Parts: sequence; structure tokens; C-alpha cells
Amino acid sequence: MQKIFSYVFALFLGGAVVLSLLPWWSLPIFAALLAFWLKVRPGAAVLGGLIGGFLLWAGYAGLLNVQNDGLLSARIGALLGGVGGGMLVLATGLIGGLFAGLGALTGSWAVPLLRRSS
Amino acid sequence: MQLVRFLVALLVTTALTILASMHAPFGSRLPAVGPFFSPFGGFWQNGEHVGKYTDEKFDLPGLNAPAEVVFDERGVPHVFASSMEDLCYLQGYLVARDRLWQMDISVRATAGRLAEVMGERVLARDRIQRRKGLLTAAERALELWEGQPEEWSLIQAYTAGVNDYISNLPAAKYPIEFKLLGYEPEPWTPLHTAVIFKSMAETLSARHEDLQATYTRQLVGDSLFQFLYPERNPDQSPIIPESVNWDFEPVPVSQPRADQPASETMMSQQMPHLPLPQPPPFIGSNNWAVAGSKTASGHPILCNDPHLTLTLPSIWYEMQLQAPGINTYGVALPGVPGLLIGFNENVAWGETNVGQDVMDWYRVDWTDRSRDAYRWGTQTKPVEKVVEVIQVRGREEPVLDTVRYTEWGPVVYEDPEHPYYDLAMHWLAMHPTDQRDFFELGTFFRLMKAEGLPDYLEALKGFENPAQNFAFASKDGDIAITVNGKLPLKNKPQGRFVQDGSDPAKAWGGFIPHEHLPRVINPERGFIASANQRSTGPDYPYYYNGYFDDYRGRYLNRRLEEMDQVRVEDLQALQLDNYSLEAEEGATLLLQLLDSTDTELRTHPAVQQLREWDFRFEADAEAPTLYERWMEAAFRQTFDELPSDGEEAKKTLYPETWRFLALLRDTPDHGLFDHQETETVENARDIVRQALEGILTEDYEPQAWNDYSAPFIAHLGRIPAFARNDLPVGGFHNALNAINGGKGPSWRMVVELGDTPNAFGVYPGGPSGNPGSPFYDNTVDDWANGEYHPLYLMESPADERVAPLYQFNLEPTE
Repeated sequence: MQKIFSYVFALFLGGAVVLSLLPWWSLPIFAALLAFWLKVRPGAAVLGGLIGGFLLWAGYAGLLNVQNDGLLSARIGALLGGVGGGMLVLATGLIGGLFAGLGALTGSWAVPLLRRSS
Repeated sequence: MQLVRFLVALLVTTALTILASMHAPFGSRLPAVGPFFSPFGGFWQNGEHVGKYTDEKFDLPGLNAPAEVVFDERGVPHVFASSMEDLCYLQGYLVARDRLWQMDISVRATAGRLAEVMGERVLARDRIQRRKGLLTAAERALELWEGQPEEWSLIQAYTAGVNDYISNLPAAKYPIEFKLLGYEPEPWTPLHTAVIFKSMAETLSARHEDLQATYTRQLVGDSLFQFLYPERNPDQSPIIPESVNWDFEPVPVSQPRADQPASETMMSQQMPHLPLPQPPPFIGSNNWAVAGSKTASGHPILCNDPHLTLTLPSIWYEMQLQAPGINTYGVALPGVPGLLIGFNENVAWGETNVGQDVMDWYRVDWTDRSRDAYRWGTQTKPVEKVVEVIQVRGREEPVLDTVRYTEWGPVVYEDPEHPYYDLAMHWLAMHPTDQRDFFELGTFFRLMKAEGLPDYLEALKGFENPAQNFAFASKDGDIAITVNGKLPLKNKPQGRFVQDGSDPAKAWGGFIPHEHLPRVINPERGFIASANQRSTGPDYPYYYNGYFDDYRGRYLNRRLEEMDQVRVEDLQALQLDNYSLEAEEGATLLLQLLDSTDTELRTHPAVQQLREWDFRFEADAEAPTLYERWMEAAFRQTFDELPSDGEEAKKTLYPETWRFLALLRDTPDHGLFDHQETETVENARDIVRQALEGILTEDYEPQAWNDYSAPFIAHLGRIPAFARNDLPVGGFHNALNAINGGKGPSWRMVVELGDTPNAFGVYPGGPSGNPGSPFYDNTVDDWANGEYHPLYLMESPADERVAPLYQFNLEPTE
């Protein structure tokens, strides 16, 4: 349990730094490397990736949305078929969670491979 | 087993990541999901931090000296620089900051380069733009500009400003449309500025009805054609008052041989396609200036409201530009240095479009089927083949398209089935420009610096196309208007119909000399005005044809004649005037004709409402809706023998509204009112009654004008979510407040030239092109409510009349 917390924490903080410097696809890669390095179990990795990715993307999107008074999210929401700003933040979080989770699982499943070969 | 599950996870993650990075996956128009939604680089980054506006201090490599920019509460920049070059550099920088995608897409749309970023679906449009020669025309204009050192240095400074903004722009901050369409801004070049200039020419001077007129004359015969489509409306009130004498000796116009009477020789046998897309009708504008003798303050007042397709972001960018020797305020066209409409402490100027026809079509007489050479008088000439290279997103190889250029211009259409096949387009915007001392940009820079009438007269010598009615007023008390531009010398009815391209004598006989252009300075009536109507009365020594307003100009002249002790507020009200002279004459006539029948509809409540109507197209009024529907139905039923829908209708010329009203009034028993397929013989009274019967059926529901006319401001890229459709406005294309669907007054300006300018303006938009900015549409509501903002020509950045929202303190990079 504690591992999940530290994974989520590291993913959130490290992801913020990595994504500020690198394109969006660095998210699954970073999530994988982190899960591998911390040797997170597969179940915990998926959950931690989902939560960490969600918090990172939804959190930052939510902050930007609040600072923007929801002006842009209302327009983008309308463009995407009438979703509200809150829904758009949620969707952003889910996309972040999905890719972080997938990356985390991949990284976690790499752990036993390396252990065996060494 | 462990290896397999790892590989599967790796594969799935990688595949999904790649998929989510793909723009327009599976042929959809979706942006790439990953980059678009990522809050670190995607659309969220375009949301401005509302309310957080802080002063900034930074270096710019292209500056020669320190400069300041003050942004007022509406986000309008006031620029203070040390030289003209720095001023243009900063203008480029700021316009790029606020309108980068607008600049990019305007260039692509005009030059035929949309397919580069939008792919196959816009290829056909690109091809036509190329074949119309807009890119070629821009290249020709650029060659001339390069030879004029003063203008060239300003264009280069502007270009550097745009590029210094772009090169420091992180991808996360690209305007949102780039993210939606999945491409990157390209560096700006002087050619882009020339293309934007040509886009203006395309919008304002590309109207042509040659083929429709030719087709319709063939359909109805020459005598009925002349009856239905007279060139001149006898009730017109021209721009130049008829009291003006033309005290010059006109240059002779050579008289070519009479045109072949049979128009069919000028037509393709089949006409199955649409004609060239026309610039939208009802693009027009108003400008006027009232002399001090007619104003309450004793100072002249100038007004201008150009009517264009309304878009977000707006076509205009409002700003003040100050440097030693210049201090001016007005609106710029993004992509072009300088201000196109504006004022300084001494003068004010503004434009409306001139309707003269400067695009004519000629049938090419090929020597053989290869279409490589054509007859030109007694000789033959080879075509010049220009290969257009069109890059298409999603294709490996560019599309190559060969365009044949004749002496007249390009043969635009290649499809043998097309009605314009074998026709060459002769358009002024493509015509090689004469060498002059300065060009269009020079005109505007001279106006921006002008101190009085002589500067105005000098400035206009550089402006050729699209011809504009330049209104002018000065603090000295002068007012003037000039129908200014390069206008071809024509013989009646040259340019009205498709002409024989094998006869060099069918060419324009040169151009009206600049000093013979219609102009009036300080007329006795105390005002000058234009609303796209005919330039002159019938005694002007040169023939011209074209597309002219019939009602706004007459009404404007009538109102200005009546007014006295005029104040700024009165003229603001005149810009917002929803009164329609067309309705005054049309509704009165329809009701008269109805009353001469014995129909019960005469007492219908809706008809009673129409009788009491004040001819104003107010948003909540119902009478204008009935009037417009009734007039349209009567028009349609009168001309029911002309093709009314489908392809045929698109190549038919319909009579103008004023002519229809004159026919109703003067010849109500004319045979054209008869429905030829019925046994009875109908007259105008029957038509008017039947038209109304079709509307006032049992389930008739009255409708407010605003609901019926449904005005809107579209997004430039036609993204509905970025548009505004909630405009509680009235207006009508034949009223001074010419709001009509998606078109209308794109900038309203009123300037009183007293000791300091007392100026007001408003436009439906905002400085920013970013839908995530509160400055995207911050003045749309003010515009819709008929409000104006004071325009302060700040004396310095510390001018206390303007409370800065934030400011830039800029230094040249060491």
C-alpha cells in the first residue's frame, strides 16, 4: 500500500517535471521507468499509474481551467459535442491515467524479466 | 510467459501511444488525442490566466531603440517607438502575438496553400485559387515593392517582428487552431504581406457577372434584357454631387468594332457547372464627413463603417502607433504594416469599396485542340504555361497543375464541360502595375502622417487596387472624397458580357488618368458621403459598369442634407440607423398594389402591422420579416420564367431590386408579370396578392426580425464553437446599419477633429484571436448594443486618459 502512495507521489511530481520538458508521450515512458525502478507489483502499478496520471493531468488541467474562468473549456467542450468544462477536466485526467497506467504495467512486468536474467 | 505478457503490454502501450499521437486518425478530423489533451502542451495551455496582467520587461533582437507598449482596458495596444522601422517591427510582433493563426490561414486560403495542412478535401479550392493567379499576382506586386526603398524597409521590419515572435514561441503556446489542425506556424515573408493585399483585392474587386449576363441575354433576347437590366438607376444619388463640373479634357477611348450581337458565340454549348465562386454580395460600407459649417462644434466629423463578412477573430486589429513624426490610431489588417482606416491629431480618413467592374472574361480562339496557341488579331501567340506545385498533406508527391496564361490572363478552368472553359480572366489585380513613386503601403503611411489636404491628395496617387472611396477630413476644416484607384477605360458595354478574345481591340483602352478620377473637395452642401453607390452622375465623361448600391447612398445623402448642428452622437446614431429606403418604397408599393385588389388579406392583422411600420429593421419588430418574405416571394413569382433553382439558376442574372420595384410601380400590366403556364393573364396586382396569400396561410406565425435574419459572427475557420450566434441586433443590407446574416459593419468609427481628436470606435471582436482569452470577443456585446469606446490618441505612455491594464517595456537585445 505504501508503495502505491510513493509511486503516485513520484509519478505526480516527476511527471510534472518530465512533461514540462518533453512531449506528451514521455508520460507512459516515465511511468514505466518509474514502476520498473521502484519494482512496483503489477496490480499496484496499474492502480498507481491510473491515479497518478489522473491526478497529474486532471489536476493541472483543473488549475488552468480555474485560472481561465472556464472560458476555453466551455468552447472546447462545445466543439466536442456539448461537454462541460468539468467533464473535460475529467476526460483529460482519464487519458492521463490510461497512459500512465499502461506504462506502469509495462514497467512492472519488466521487473521479473531482468531479475531472472541477472 | 513473463516475457510474452511484457511484450504484449509494451506493444499495446506503444501502439496506443502512437495512435493517440496521430492527427486525424482513420480519416477523421480529430486532433491527435494525446498532445491535444495534455495539459502540458495541448489546448489547456491556450487558456489565458484571466485577471493576471502584469507589466513585462524584455529584450527584442529587432529593435533599434527602447520602446513601450501600453495595453488599455480593452487590450488595445498603444505603441511608442523611436523610429518608423521600430514601429512596424513592433506592429508585426504584436499582431503575431494576437493573430498568428489568422495571418497564417489567410495567406494559405488566398494563395491556394490550404491543402498543405488540411489535405485532399481542400485541394479543389487550392487549385482554383492558384488558377485565378492570386499567388502570381502577389509575386508581381512584391517585385515592385522591392524597388521602393522606404516601403520595403517597413515591410522588412514588420516581417522581422512577426518572425521574432514566432521563433520564441514554444509549441505549447501555438494558437489553438494549429493544435486542432495539427501543424506549425511557418516563418512570415514579405510575400505573405503581398498575398494578404491580394486577398483584399479578391474580396473587394473580383465581382463579375459577365457570364451570367451573357447567358441571360441569350435566354431572354437583347431587347428584354436591356429592359430588365438597365445599367443605371435613374433615382441614384451618386457619390460626387451632380453639381460638380468635370473641367478636364477626357482622354479619348478607342472605339473597338461592335461586339458580335450573338452572345452564343461567346458561350460554351453546355453550362453544367457553377460559375466561379463570387465574393459574397451585400459587402458594402459607409463613410462620410461633415464640414464644420454643419456641426455643432464647428469642427469637421468623419465617419466610416466598412461592411464585411464578420469573423472571429475580426478582420481588423485596433491599435495606436507613435514614433517621432507620427502619432496615429485606427485599424490594421493583420499581415499588413500600417493602419488602413484611422486618424491622427490633424486628419481622419476612411474607405468604402468602389463597385467598378475590373474583372472581365474573354473567349480564347485556340489555333488547334492542343490549346497551346491562340489567335490574337492577325497573328497567333503561344500560351505561357505556368506549373503550379501544390503540396497536399497525406500525399508523397505534390500535385502539379499547368495553367495557361494568355495576353488577357489565366485560362482558369480546364474541364471541357465547364462554362468558363476556354475563357481567359482579365483582372486588374493581376495586371502588371505601372512603376510609381510609391505603392499602396506608401498611401497609408502618408495618410497616417498627413497634416492636411495636400498630403491626402498626394497619398492617393499610390493606391491602385482594390479601388476605394477615400473620405477625408482635416482639423483645418477641409473635407474631401475621391473615387480612387486604377479604373479601366471602357466603351459601353465593354466588360458586361463575355468578349471575343481574338481581338486585341477588345482590351481596356488604358486607365482613367489619376487627375480625372471622380473627386469632390469642400462641396457647398457641407458633407461628402459614400455607400458603394455609383461614383458619378451621367455626365461624367468616362463609361464604367459595375455593382452599385441603390438605397443606402440615397438615404445617407438625404439624411445628411436634412441634418444640421450635427454632434458626434447624431452620427453614431446614423451608423446604427436601421431605416431602409428600400422598405419605404417597397412596402408602400406592395400595399398599394394589394389595396387595388379585393382580397380579404387587406385587413389581416399582419398587414395592418405592416401599414403602421416605420421601415426600421429593428431586432424585435415583426413587420420587417413579413416585408422581406413578401418582397422575396413577389420577386420570385414575377421572374418565375427565369430558372429558379439548381445549376441553371446559378448562371442566371436576376434583375436588381430597384428595377423590380420600378417595374411594379411603372408597368404593373407588363407581360412579364404573367405566369406563362396559367391560362389567365396575371398582372403585378395578382402577383403581389398571390405572394402574400402564400405567406399568410392559416398557420402563419409572425416572427421577430432577429429570429428570421439570424445574424451571426462566424469563426474564421468555421468552428461553430468559436463563433457568436447570440446577437440581439437588427439591421438590413439596404439600411445604413447593414447587418445581414454573417455580414455587417466590421468597424464603426466616428472622429471629430477639434483641438484634440474626439474619437469613438467599436468592432465586433477583440484584440486577441485566442478563444481562450477574455479579449477574444470582449467587444462583441458593446458592438451589438450600439455602444462606442472612446479612442484616445495618447500623447505619451503616461497619458492619464488611459489606465493601462499592463505594459511592455522593451529594449534592443545587446
